[in-house]
Amino acid sequence: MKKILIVDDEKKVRRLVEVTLSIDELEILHASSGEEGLMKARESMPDIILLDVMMPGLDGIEVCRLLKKDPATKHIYIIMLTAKGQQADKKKGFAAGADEYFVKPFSPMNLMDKINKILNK
Amino acid sequence: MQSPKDMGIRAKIIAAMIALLVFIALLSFWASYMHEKKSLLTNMQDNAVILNRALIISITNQKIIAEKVNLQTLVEELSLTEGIFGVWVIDSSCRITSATFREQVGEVASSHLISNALENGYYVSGFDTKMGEQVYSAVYPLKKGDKILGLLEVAFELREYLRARPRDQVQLAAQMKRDSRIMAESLSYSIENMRDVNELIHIQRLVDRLTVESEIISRIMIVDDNSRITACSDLSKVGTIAADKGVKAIINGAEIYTRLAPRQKIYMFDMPLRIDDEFKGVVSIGYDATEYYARLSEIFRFGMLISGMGILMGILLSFQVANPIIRPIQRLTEVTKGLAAGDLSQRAAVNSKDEIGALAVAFNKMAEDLAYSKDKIDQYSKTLEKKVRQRTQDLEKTNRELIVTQNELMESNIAKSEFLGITSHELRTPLTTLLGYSELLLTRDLTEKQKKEFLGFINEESIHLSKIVDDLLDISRIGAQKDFGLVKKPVDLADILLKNTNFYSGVETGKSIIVDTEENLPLVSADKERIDQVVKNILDNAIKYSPDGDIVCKAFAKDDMVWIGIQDYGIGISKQDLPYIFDKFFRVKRKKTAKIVGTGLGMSIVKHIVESHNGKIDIESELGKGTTIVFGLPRLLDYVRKDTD
Repeated sequence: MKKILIVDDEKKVRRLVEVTLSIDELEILHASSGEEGLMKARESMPDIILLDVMMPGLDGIEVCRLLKKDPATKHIYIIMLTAKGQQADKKKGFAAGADEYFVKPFSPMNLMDKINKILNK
Repeated sequence: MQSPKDMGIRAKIIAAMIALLVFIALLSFWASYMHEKKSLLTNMQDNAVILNRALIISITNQKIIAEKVNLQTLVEELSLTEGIFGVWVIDSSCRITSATFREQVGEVASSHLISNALENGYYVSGFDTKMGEQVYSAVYPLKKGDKILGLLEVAFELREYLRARPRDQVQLAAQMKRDSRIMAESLSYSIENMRDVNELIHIQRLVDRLTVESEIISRIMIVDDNSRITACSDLSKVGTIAADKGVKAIINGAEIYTRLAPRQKIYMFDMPLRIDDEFKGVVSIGYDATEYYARLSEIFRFGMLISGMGILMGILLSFQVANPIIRPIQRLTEVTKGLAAGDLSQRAAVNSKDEIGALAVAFNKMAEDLAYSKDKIDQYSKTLEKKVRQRTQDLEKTNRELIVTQNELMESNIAKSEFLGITSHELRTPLTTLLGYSELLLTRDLTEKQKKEFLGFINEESIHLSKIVDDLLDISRIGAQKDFGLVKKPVDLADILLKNTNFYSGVETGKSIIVDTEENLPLVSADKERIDQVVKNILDNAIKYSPDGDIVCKAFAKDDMVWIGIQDYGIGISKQDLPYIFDKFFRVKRKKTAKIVGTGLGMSIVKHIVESHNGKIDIESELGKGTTIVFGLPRLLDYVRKDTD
């Protein structure tokens, strides 16, 4: 079973992603902060991480950088899912090692399609 | 050497005057010299003309005298011949030029024989009477060519004839006729020869004598009409052909030819030699011109001496003339230098009424004007300096203000950019919920519980979104300097505080809010909704920025004001950030606040609302210890509180 980790301090967003991806083949994991997300990623080694940027404590960019720096976790596909939609923000995300950049608000259907494509690869 | 351009005026004037005087002196000298030279030449020429003419006359006279003397001697010698009574030479005008009887020379001869001979031009003879005695006369014409120059008359004694017998008298008469003819022809021939020889001998003698005795004649040359030299000071040249230009010129028709031979110091003077208006040749005399050249040299030396003295006098005169002109100019120059050095009190002395004096007067006027102008300029300069200093200070102040403004603008821009980013983020977060859950509601088969849950999310985020929009509109009004359209009424601040603390206590904040309000708190005139917004904002911040600890709220009256104070024990604000806490778009940048929702507009709006009520707001904070915000509004002094309010 494929694992997807959602790291976002907004409960509503985590819930939205969870409901969107609620299919049998996927295991959805939650983390409400950067530190928690980092820890869960290392523990459960998800296939995909949906990572918010602005979070109290360790932000998403830093989490992404640490994961991509770590040989054990660098293979994890990281999708930045954030409300920071400016070009400079995207550059920062990709510079940190993000594989995909999704700007909020997003269409649950589009996110679903994207996840499916990644997993099918 | 100094070029004329670099010379001083004195030197120029002196040089000009010297040059002028030298020119005048040389011109005078040259004119005088030429005049003297011409005068000397004229004088010499006049002398030469006289001398030449005298020589020609001498030559002519000498020839005539010599001829006469020789003819007389011949006549007297012939007279001694046996049988000859007497001999007479008569000129063409019948005047006796030589005669056996000397007392007869000069008398006019008259006889029929003479008349016949002159008329016919040939020999005649016959009996005649001379001095009372009978003679046999033979008259023979003396000719040169066809021209009769005179007559030769020879008278034979008739003593033997008279003693002879008549028969013999015929023979004697024939013999006398024959003898007289031979004698006359012979005599005539002798006379001709004698005249030519004597002529030459006497002219050469004359030439030699003149050359030796005359102090002024260096050379004499007599040339015949064929250019052959017949007499000359240098005997070796006699008989040769003369090649002188003067001789040729005279032979070619010139009347006078003169020339100077500077090397030999001779003045050559040539004239034609005419006897009885007939051109006979050329008389060429070389006069000694030593005196002429000596005189010229003397004149030249004298002229040079005079010129030198003139130049010397000219130099002295130039100094005498130049100094009175130059000295005032020099004095003026000194004064000008003093003026140029900055001493504007310098004035030129006015000692004359001439152009220099006028210049000094004009200069003094100019100096006065200059001093006046300088005073004015100094004054203006001081004023200008003051103005410039003032302007500079103003500019510096303006610059500082501009820099401050620029910094503020930059900070404002940065804050605005940040605000836009934050606003965008703040808008996107509720929009994510709205769009996401509405799409799920539309596309998924959801349970009723899910639908209710999701609609609840949508509702919450709609309210949140509405709050953001309200804040943005408020800040937009503040930016446009517009009021909030306050509707003021008597308001009890304690009521507003309690209402809000009750609300937040009701919300799941996990906070303990302590409220302390004075009883019978005076009312204030305020827009209730806006004051409610103020309290809500402050409380909201206190809750957001204090993850741990309680919140203490107070309402109290002091100094004709009614105050509300809200104190938290949260993260606090640094001293560096504190002055900007009420600025628009300002938001404390710290990790701990990164996720805290807020546009950075709340406190700015709060301050604006308070001040719009003529109120005051203050903040105290310490990093890590918490924040206290106090705001007060003027109390309603004349208002009587009613229980129903």
